[in-house]
This record gives sequence, C-alpha cells and structure tokens, in this order.
Amino acid sequence: MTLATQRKGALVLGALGIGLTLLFHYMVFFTVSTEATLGIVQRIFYVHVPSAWVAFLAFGIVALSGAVYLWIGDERLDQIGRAAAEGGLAFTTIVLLTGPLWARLSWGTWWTWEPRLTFTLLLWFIYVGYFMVRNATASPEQGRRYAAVVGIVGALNIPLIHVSVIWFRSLHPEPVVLNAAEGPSLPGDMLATLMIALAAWTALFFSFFLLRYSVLKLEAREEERSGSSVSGQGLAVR
Amino acid sequence: MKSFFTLARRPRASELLAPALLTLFVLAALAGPVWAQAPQTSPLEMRHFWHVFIAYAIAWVLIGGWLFTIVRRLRKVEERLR
Repeated sequence: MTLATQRKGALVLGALGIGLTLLFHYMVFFTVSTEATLGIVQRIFYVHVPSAWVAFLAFGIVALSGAVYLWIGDERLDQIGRAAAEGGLAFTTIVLLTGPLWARLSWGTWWTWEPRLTFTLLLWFIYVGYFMVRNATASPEQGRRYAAVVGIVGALNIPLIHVSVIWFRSLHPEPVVLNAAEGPSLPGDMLATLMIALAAWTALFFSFFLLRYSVLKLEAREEERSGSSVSGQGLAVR
Repeated sequence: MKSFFTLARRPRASELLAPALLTLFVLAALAGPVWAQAPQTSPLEMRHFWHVFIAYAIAWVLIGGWLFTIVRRLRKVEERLR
C-alpha cells in the first residue's frame, strides 16, 4: 500500500468516523431512552464499551503483527504493531477514566480492586511497557523483538478481562451484548446507539492508525536516507 | 463633535442605582414564570449530567490528543525530508 493510498484511506475513514460520531452523540444526548435504574449516568456506557472493544482490537493487531514480525522479521509489521499500540493505549485510557465516572455514582466509589478493573489496569501497564522496552535495549532491532513479545503477552490478558466477570465474583456488570448464554439483552434503541458508537470509534481508530503507520514509514525512510548519506560521506572520506 | 452617547460627566453611583434595580426587577419578573415551569432537577441528577459530560470530554481530549501528536510528527518528518 502506497503512502498516498494510506492517506486517502485515512481521510475517508476519518470522515466516516466523524459522521458516525456526530450521529451517535445526537442519539446519546437526545433520542436514546434513559435506563430505569441507573438513570442519565448510564449514557457513559456508549463511550466506555466501544472504547474497550476498540482497545482490544488494537492490542489484537499488536499481538498478531508482533507474532508475524518475530517469525519473518519484516520491519513494516513492527510499524503496524506500534501504530496500533498507540491507539490501543489511548482507548484503554478512555476506558480507565470513564469507568470511574460511572462507578462513583453506581457503586459509590471511584475505584475498587475487582478483577475486571484490575486486569484492565494491568493491560494498560503492559502496553506502556511495550513502548518502554523499545528504548531500553542496546540495538533498535532487539527493542523491536522485545516489544513484539510484550505485545503478545499483553494480548493474553484480553480474554481474561472478558471472562473475569463470569469466572470471579465481580462488581462489574456482565456482558450485555457478547453474552454467549442469552445473546444481546439491550433494548433496540440502546443496542443501535451502541453499534453506531462502535462503528464510529472503529472508523476513527483505523483512520488514525493508517495515518500513524504512514508517518512511521516516512520516519523509517528518513532514517534510511540519513544512514545512506552518512555512509556515503564515509566513503568519500576514505 | 461629541457623539449622542457621550456623557458630559461620569455618573454618580447613586444615579446608577435606580436603573440597575429596575433592570434586576424586570429580569426577575421575566425569569419567574420560566423558572416555575422548568423541570425540577435535583443536585444528584445534575451530578449525573456532569459525569456524562466529563466522560465524553475525556474521550474527545484523548482521541484529539492522539491525532494532534500524529499530525505534529507528520509535519516534522515532512519538513526534514524536504
């Protein structure tokens, strides 16, 4: 995929993402029905849940690209992983900050060390580590390999986050859409709002991901150029 | 030439008191019926609204922040490549 195609793709997905975002914001603030027990604060759900899904998608991409990178060693796979990890970290931060805003009014506390919250915080720390190990090694190539391993290990936490509300005693609500036993239990308008929010966040994520990937490719090209000019100067000196 | 609205001297505080009180009275008289018809919002409900607005603001700041860093890096690398 050329840089021009990537940018065009980013622009199209960005426009789609903004359009869907405006639509879901309109639905959240004006049309969707208010949940009977939780009231207005339940509307945080439409930003919290899609952010979690997009974060998991991003970390899935990191793990997959990391595994293939360790196998074939193509630098573009590392760039894909790095671009996705940045997005995943941003969306996990949204999850970790919007959750307590809901929890304060529903549970009476900002934070509690219950399994899902703890595993999500752990996920966030693992992907902070993903960026830290890159700069903590002697050679960039070694850093890329270590980061790929961290990316794979971090993704193992994702299924654990999903099942933590079923396996352990948990305060966190159980899944209302991806519920294997009962199927989606949300009313129609709430489910539609959630799905549009999910589509909007996904489109925005892929738009920024493509843009970031194109920047990483340009940076690699610049490094190659500066490297070849340095070696060229070296030859001239000799 | 002085404009129509130019005052010859600065008005005294006592002279401004009567128009100020009259303005307040008119505003209160207008706002009274509107206030009476407004749905009653408890402080707890207002807190719910604030939490929702803050949650969405956080999402936008973080997504916008990510886009901002990407665009800044793009500009820098394009400048260096030129």
